[in-house]
Amino acid sequence: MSGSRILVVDDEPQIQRFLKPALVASDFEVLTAATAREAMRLIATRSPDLVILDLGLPDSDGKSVIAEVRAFSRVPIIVLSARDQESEKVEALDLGADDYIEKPFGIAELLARIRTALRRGTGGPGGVADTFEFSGLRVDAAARVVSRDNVPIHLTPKEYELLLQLVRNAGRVITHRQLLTSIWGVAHADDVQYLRVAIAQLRAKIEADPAHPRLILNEPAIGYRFAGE
Amino acid sequence: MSDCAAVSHSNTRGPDPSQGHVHRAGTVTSWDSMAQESKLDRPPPSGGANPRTATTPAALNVPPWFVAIVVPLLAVGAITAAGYAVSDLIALKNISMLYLAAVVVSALAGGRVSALLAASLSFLAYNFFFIEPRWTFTIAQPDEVVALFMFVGVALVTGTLAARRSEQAEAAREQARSTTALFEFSRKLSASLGLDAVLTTTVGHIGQSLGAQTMVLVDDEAGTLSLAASEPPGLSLAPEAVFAARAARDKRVPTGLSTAIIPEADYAFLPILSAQRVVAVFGMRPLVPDQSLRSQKNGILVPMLEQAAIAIDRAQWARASARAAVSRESERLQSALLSSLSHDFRTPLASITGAATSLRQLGDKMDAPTRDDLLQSIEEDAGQLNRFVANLFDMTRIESGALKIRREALDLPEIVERAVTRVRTIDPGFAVSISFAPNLPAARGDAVLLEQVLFNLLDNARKYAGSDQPVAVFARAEDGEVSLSVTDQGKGIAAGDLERIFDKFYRRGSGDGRAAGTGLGLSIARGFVTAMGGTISAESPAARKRGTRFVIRLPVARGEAS
Repeated sequence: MSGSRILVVDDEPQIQRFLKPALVASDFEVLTAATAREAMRLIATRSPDLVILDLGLPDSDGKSVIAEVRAFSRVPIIVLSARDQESEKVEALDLGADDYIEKPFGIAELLARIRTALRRGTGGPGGVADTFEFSGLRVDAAARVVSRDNVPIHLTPKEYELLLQLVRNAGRVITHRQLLTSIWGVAHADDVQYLRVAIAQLRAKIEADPAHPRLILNEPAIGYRFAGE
Repeated sequence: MSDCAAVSHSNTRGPDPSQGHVHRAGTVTSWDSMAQESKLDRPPPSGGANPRTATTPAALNVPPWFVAIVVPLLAVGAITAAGYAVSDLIALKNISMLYLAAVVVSALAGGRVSALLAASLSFLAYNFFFIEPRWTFTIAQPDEVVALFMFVGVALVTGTLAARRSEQAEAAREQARSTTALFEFSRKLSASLGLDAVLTTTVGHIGQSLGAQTMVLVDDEAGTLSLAASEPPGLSLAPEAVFAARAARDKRVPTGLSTAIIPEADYAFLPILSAQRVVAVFGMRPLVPDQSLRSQKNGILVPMLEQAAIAIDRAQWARASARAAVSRESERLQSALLSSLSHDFRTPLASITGAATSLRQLGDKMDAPTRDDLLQSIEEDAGQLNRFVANLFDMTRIESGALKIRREALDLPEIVERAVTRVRTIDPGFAVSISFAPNLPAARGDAVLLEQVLFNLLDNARKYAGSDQPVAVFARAEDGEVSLSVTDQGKGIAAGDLERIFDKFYRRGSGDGRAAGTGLGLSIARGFVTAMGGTISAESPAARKRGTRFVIRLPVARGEAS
């Protein structure tokens, strides 16, 4: 993980100015780009292990960078965005970005997101592992068994698929559309209420206090995130 | 004309009906539209004050019943006189043929009734003057009786045929007139641009075609039915008429004058219906009072209103869609402004937060120059935030009028120097050449405000022209004023944008990539200079197809004018 190469794409010199020393001090190798064109060139030639991408770039929309990169690479992409740009974030995630972080952010939060994304990218724990355990909840994908504190929990097939999808992406946000498309199908990509109902039922079965969920977290207007780490 | 309407309005039907309504309506307070209240105070236009005398030439408008009586009398009288003069020369039977001519003439001029009257008069006159014994209504010879009745029969048939022929010709002429009027109306409507023009055309054309006072009422923005156009212009409505108009809109039936609903109103109202809705209400009052609304002539009213409905509907949709476009544009501006402000504040905040947290958590892994650079970036971004806040504060002061302006003789070189020094705290490499014309009179203004204006101009030049290009500041006397110019060597500004750059929040370019700024600098500069009694303008290109020049002109301080 340390030693990984990170490409920071942002046209604001002030952002580069603190991100670069902070990432270097965290033992990453840092590449920087201020334009979409430069970013594409570096991704193609230097194969970074992760890309931090600001959505507003002078020569192109950051979202088009995501679409272009995804045509040939699965490199994890973390999007930098403002809080008031929900639709931008959702579009970026649906296009294949792995996560997003809102400006302004503390460096610790960014580093945590980077580690989660890098683990996924390298197929480590939280990737496609067969079993997952977090705070007493155990999901055994091979045996299709879910238990909490060793007490088996009965889930409907939809609830099980939803949980599996969330835990396999633990620590990472998944958009409503991504969950709906993979579990209910493309025809229901916009039926967010299906998802709300299923999440509520799932929480009732796996959360210690469903009113204050600790495992399945809301990302308002964007999607859900399974608490990782 | 309804009797009821005539009676109820007898007190107001003076020589000037609209004058009467002004007086009456002024005492009514239940009207729901202030706009209409104000219309009541308007004096009636002199042209249309009295419709009867204004537009009805008596010579051309003899009542039909008069014609129907007078023509047979004259015709039969003339034939009798002529027949009497020649009765010794021609056979008695031929005289009856002359009477047939009188019947035909009467039929053509006055129609069926006239023909019948002429036949009856001819019967009596022929009998009295020509059939033996003369000077009595008795008939001596039986065959004369037969001949007389045959004459009456022939006269009636001929007269009827002639009258029908005359009616058909009249109907055909009327039809042609209607078609022409309708065509003309349709042509005028399609040439009318905008709702107001369509409404004016509607009332004007229908009013002239039917010889009536006409008006059209539409719902205003508050949904209140109010008068939008009238012929003659400036008509006003009595309260009953307003109620009638509203009833026509709500019930979608004719109301008012000559109808069953609120007949006491002095106008008749008809809803103008499009496919789905009532687009307007049409009101009219015939200029000749006894001309019924249901008279033949009004057959053309219905197709005309249908034409008008289409045109009004179209104009209303066009207006609604234009409004929607304006509101979309203003929403777009608002959201662009918000996103710009959000970006300009969030970037320095993100940098400060990022640098501070990096220093705290990773500082011990960084070398001293790196830590120093992060600390310095925090200082700089705090300074940038401070300038944004100051700009917003200045703008608020200008807009609220809370600006206190000093009007003193200004030491321009010192003010320019202070502004340049401030720019250099942001960008130490800022290159500027400053020159003053000899014998420059002192300008009058506020030193603090002018320094801010200069700073904004220099900072703009630095951001948009690039700090490697020198910026020129030059002051001289010009047309009794002191002009102070700031010229950069940047790309320049398109002619169409030269005024817009002074608009609040206007920024050239878009997206994240442009230089940081609130889009307030020039707007504040203009606000300050204007408050000092001066002007500020932009010129581009400044020289050799490049660059932008901002020129501030300030009045010369008193006692200094040369």
